[in-house]
Amino acid sequence: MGGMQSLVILGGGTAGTMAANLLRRRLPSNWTITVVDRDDRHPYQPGYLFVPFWMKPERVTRDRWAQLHDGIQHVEATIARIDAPARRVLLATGQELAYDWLVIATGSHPRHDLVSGLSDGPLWGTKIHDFYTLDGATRLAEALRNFDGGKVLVHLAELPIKCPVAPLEFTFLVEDHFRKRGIRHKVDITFVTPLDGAFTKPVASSAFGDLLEDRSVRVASDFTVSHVDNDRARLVAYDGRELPFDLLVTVPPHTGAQCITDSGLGDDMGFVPVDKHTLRAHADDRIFVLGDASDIPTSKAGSVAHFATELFVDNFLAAIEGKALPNRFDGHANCFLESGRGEALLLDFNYDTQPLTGSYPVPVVGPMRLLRRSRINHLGKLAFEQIYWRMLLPGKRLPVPLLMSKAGKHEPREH
Amino acid sequence: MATIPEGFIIPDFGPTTSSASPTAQVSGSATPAHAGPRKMAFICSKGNLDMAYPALIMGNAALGEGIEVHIFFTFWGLDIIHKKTNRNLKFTLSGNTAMHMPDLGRLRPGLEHVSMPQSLGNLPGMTSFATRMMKQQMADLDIPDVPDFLDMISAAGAHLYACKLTFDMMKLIEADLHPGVEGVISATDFIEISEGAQIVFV
Amino acid sequence: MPTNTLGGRSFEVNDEGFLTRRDDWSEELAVDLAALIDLELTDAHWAALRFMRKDTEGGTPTPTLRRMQTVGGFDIKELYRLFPGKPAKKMAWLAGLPKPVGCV
Repeated sequence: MGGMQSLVILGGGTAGTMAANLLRRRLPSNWTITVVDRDDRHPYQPGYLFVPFWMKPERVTRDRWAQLHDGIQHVEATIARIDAPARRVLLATGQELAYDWLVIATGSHPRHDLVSGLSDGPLWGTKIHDFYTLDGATRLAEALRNFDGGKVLVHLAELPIKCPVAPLEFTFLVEDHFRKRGIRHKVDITFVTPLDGAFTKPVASSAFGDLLEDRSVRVASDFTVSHVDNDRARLVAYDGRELPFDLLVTVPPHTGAQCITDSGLGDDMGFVPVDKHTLRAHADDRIFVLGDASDIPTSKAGSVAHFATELFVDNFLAAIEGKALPNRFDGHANCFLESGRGEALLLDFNYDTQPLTGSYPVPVVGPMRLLRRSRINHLGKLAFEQIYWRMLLPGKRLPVPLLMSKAGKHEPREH
Repeated sequence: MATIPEGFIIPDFGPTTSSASPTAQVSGSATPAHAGPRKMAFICSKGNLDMAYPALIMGNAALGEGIEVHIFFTFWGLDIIHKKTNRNLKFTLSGNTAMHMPDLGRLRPGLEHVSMPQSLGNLPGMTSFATRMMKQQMADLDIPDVPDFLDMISAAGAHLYACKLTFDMMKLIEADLHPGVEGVISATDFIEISEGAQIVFV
Repeated sequence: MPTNTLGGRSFEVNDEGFLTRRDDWSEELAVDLAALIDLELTDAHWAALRFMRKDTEGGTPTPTLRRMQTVGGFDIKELYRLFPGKPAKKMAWLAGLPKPVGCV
């Protein structure tokens, strides 16, 4: 093990940056770490949710490369292809990067082009908006300011998407927005989902379903979108249902990065199949996949990237020594769910346990309450922006458990 | 088709059955104003708990008799079909001089017919107390609460409408209306719909 | 009290035609009565009628539509479809029970 070893990390987002920073401290100096990304702006993606309402777009992004510790190299280029058998990465510039070990953290990407009529018609940018890109969120801010009545659809095309609760959060916030402007009665809001309810897990689903009713929001469930009729401004489902709109805020389908599909490493959606407990690619032992880029059956969310990446570090160190991997990831995710009116809910769940009520992060004491609206949860959500930049990305340990704990949580009663 | 035997007495099941009621032909003295099947239209303009029930109960009875029923909710009556309010309609003693307490008769016979002093109704908590009592009495008679009642009569085919003018005036949101409500319509629309109906104003 | 005769069976009814003695009733009679109002009794009809017979065994009043829903688990809309027009009245008559008197 005396010679130079190289680790290449594809993607300098949440997972890639964290992994680089954590590993730099743990790997000896004969290891080089290189992070590849196509641009130099690192967005705080949870901020996109607030941009349509009050957050300044400038506040959301920072210099991508400044988030990396000393001793980490970076390459700013588009990735063309991964050549796993030859252990090299081909860049769009024609350059090649050889690696001994590879971490794929290329994320998931909203694909407006996958729903016909969404971004290829005249209504895109006028009546049709999204908030999963910074540009989209900025345009939407303008559109919301100028909207003075009509039908609003908040639409979720299909799963998986990044941060699956964001469409709900947006719904609550947009409801607030119109109430504060005094024109709520002129706005008809419908939450459109391909699922049979507002959320996939039973306890949470019923909690959110009530919340939507409480906010006078209609729900169109089991709505599988076929296309957008631009001429008549209608969202059309395969079963023939049509929803007219004056403002459509859509969350398009997501896929993995193009380079994953081009490399033949992805599934049909472009996500890399991995062992869900170790995050090691099925295709190649020398590849680990962090963050949204893998096909693990949990939320594509920053919290998952965070928990998984911290557990990954020890696994990686064992893997390069040829030892058994010590940590098993349980799919732990938690998320703050903005419920509007200055409150938020907190969810905590994993592969096997649905979100339950209770307290977090300390059992019983909290201070945050799970699945219940509270002011402190909302403040927690806002504070997370600072935690993200100052603690999470640099790889400082947060005072929360990485694996999910059931202590302080309440299982639903059996009937 | 089976024919009804001579002298067989069968209940009046209305025009929807083949058995035309023999009494209908006999009572031909007055010419009905409306030739079609019987229709009733109710206008609900009050949002007190005790003012929500009359139209619902009569409408339900009418439906049971096979009569076409239309209910138009206007002004405070909109509270009856508003999901945020219809679970919490209130009953107040204030302004209701017909408020008697049957149980007072046990204290001194005769007291049960004396109306309660109006000032009582203004005591803090009296309205919620009176509301609770009325709800309990309704439940004892197996009368459903207002949202359930609406479910029931809309399932039975009652047509429910909200008045557009007051709906706009109160800045209501359509999503808040009971799902049985067919639409927010103008008074003119309702007058058209209720053509030939017997109208009951509550 | 008047008496109705149908298919060789005689039974006492009230002025409106409802059976006055519940024991005069039989399932065969119900089938014949149903034919008079153009109803063919299916399993769904029978479920409702049998529930009503059973519910009133102790001499309790004829169940209201609401009771059919809350206790019997029947869907009111469905009952309206099965016994079009005046379901409560038709069901009581077919089940050999007095006309329902409850408001709801």
